[in-house]
Amino acid sequence: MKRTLFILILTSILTISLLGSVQAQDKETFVMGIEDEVSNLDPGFTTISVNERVASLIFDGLVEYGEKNKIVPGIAKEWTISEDGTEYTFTISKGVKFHDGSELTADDVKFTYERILDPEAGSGLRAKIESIESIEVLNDYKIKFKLKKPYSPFILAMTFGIVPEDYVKENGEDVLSRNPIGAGPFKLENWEVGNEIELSAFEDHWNKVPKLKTVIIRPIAESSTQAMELRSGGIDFAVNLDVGQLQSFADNENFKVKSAPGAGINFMGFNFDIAPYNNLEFRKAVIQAVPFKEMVPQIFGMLGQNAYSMLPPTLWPDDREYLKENTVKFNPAAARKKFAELKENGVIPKDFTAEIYVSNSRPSQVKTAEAMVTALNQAGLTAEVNAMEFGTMWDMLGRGEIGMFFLRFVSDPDPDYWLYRFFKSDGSLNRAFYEDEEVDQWLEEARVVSDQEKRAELYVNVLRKVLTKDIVFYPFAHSNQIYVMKDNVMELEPGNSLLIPLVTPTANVYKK
Amino acid sequence: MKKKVISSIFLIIQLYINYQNWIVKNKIWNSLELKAATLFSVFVILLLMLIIFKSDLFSSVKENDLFQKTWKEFNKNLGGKIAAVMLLCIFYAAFMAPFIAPYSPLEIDYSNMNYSPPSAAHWFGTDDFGRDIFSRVLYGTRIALGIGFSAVFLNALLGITLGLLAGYYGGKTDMIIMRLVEIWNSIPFILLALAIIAALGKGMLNLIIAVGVTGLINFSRLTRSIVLQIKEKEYIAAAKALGSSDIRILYKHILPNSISSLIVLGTLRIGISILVVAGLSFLGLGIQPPTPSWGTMLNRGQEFLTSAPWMSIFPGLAIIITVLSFNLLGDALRDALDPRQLD
Repeated sequence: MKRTLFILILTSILTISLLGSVQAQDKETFVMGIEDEVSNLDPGFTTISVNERVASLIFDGLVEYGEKNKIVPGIAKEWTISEDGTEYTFTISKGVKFHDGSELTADDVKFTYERILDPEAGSGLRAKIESIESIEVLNDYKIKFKLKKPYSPFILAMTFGIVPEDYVKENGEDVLSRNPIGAGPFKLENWEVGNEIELSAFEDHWNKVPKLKTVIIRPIAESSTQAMELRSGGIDFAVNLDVGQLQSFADNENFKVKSAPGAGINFMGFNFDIAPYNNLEFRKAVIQAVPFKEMVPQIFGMLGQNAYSMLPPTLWPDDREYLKENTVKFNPAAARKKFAELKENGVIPKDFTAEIYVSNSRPSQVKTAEAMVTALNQAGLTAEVNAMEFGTMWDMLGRGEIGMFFLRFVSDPDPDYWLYRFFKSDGSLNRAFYEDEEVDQWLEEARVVSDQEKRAELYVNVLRKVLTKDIVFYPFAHSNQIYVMKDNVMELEPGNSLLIPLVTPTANVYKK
Repeated sequence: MKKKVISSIFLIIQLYINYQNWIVKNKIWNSLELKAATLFSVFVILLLMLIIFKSDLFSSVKENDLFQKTWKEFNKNLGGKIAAVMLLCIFYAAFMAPFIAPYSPLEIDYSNMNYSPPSAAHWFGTDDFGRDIFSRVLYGTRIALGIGFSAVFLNALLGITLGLLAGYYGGKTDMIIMRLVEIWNSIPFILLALAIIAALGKGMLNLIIAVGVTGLINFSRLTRSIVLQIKEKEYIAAAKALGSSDIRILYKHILPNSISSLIVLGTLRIGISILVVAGLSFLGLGIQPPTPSWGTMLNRGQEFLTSAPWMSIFPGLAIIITVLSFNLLGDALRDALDPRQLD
């Protein structure tokens, strides 16, 4: 009997010890959960946000995002821009070291950018720097970029992580994707594919030595699993929890929930080539029928806020008041009347079912679409939600097969990135197939002008035209960025959604 | 006498419901679902009145030996009786949903989109859009049963036809048909359904097709085995000698004699179909929101599992009870209808 009990205790201890995962109790170890598997850490080829976030810890760029997404010096301690805006000269700090101990020089910078510029390489980042005409190394610590024509948002591309030329040349082009070496605050220690990535502090970092000695990154796809791990102490920090989980953390004093606006814009778009979506009255009626402004705060909760502009609140130009005043407002009676009229005129064909396409990986958008369908049906327009896998939907959008869609977009802090590709006739993301000469002109001009006030004016023109006059898109919610962390994690503030700011010019995260 | 009292009580309840809906709320014929509910309630009223006023209604059926034997066997099985009562309630709820649901299953109160726990006003609580879960579960019953039955009907139609042909003609025909069905069956059930929906697109009809064409082997194999037994019987030889065509023999002699086993299998398959439809809807491939279906409700509920468990519990219970009832009924029917006991 005694022996049985003993064996029972032993087995249960064994089971419990097997079940217990990595406990993040160590003060110098920081475990974070991210929503997806990291596939590639090469900073020249990271267009997926999880890859980019992890790569940004390993690599540093010439310049960095500081407070409020202002550009501040990084590896380059200073830079000059020529009068006509076509020449950028950077001075690199001396003694910046890569993780393997070699020094970072202008040659590495040149190599980094030429690698991305090479059309053969097929980098998704190329579009941001294709205005480069030539790159000239003046000496070891000075480099000059020459542009074909002025391109104001160019400086943002200088945040790309610098890669070591010798290391890549010795080990082949693909070496960085699995064994990255950069000049960033953390170096890759160990990568168990599918399980976790272990980073350790780089003691010779050019700016500051990270206070966290070990960072472990674990991909946890399910939001509810992330929440559970956070509660059990398996991770210190989680991004992208669902609304349902957030509330319980906000009420719990052992955790901190921090939010910042500007993680992206959720908008509804229409296809200008498909009837009846290309009819302005139809688009207006759709928006009038749905109480977006009332729905969004309740559906998105902490995750978002009402939007009136395509640009996040943190980004200039601020024209929200005008857009808010002039946006189409909720008016179900008017919508019902308009739908009836349009049906009579034959604009809406008989047996027409409006389909709203939405990516099924965005629960808040799916819910908005669901609530929207109910409202449209009440207003007399038969509508359906079509929630599908994002890749499939994106392909269909590219072929112009979708009339009405929900998308979320996030980009670097310059209006050009947010507007040019969507509203320019030949823009790479112009999924509305919208064409307007005036808008084209404004967008083109805003790229060339370097005076920010003049640019702001042009972007205001664009926004007013596409959002209130032509109603190409209807932005309904700004996503907030939500960080949930244990209460002993200090100095970790959400800001730029494309990075996780563990070590930045203003912060150096540590655990109390 | 007891039967009459119970029937009268039911009749009064039914009349009250219809009075409320037809006269007070004027819901009779405005939409398709109301038409169905109206017809169904007229049917129920007529049936109850017949039971009350015409006591010899079922006497001819009752005198039938076969029926008596089956009825006796069925009555021995308590689980089967409970299941039959449960299913009657479920069917009633499905047809009468528009009349008994206290709220609209779709309407959203845009000023108060939040969940609330079960209360006197909302028996099963409300979901995160403020919709009444009791009403949604009721409407979900229609979808579950409708799709479950149609899918099994399609399934049986295809499976039985293939089984009849394979069993009756034998030889090469049998070989080819059964091998094809086996190959078809070797593709995992849920994967095949996923692939069909991916190819045809979402929608109720496609869902029925997807569930209906998977798992043909159950019906065809059973039919084939029965046909193999029956076709050796003397009356088949007699029919052949009289010059009956193959089709006539198949549908007039063989099929009626195998129907009892097929009914049992069909009952069991309905339960499985309901589960599959709920599973596909849970994965986002079946019924699309906002249409209320148990699977989509479960899917929505999982996000709020800790804060609002009633969002998952009630649709989950509905699935469990329905599927369990079909399985129990199927078992009871098997005991009652087993041809070996009837010989």
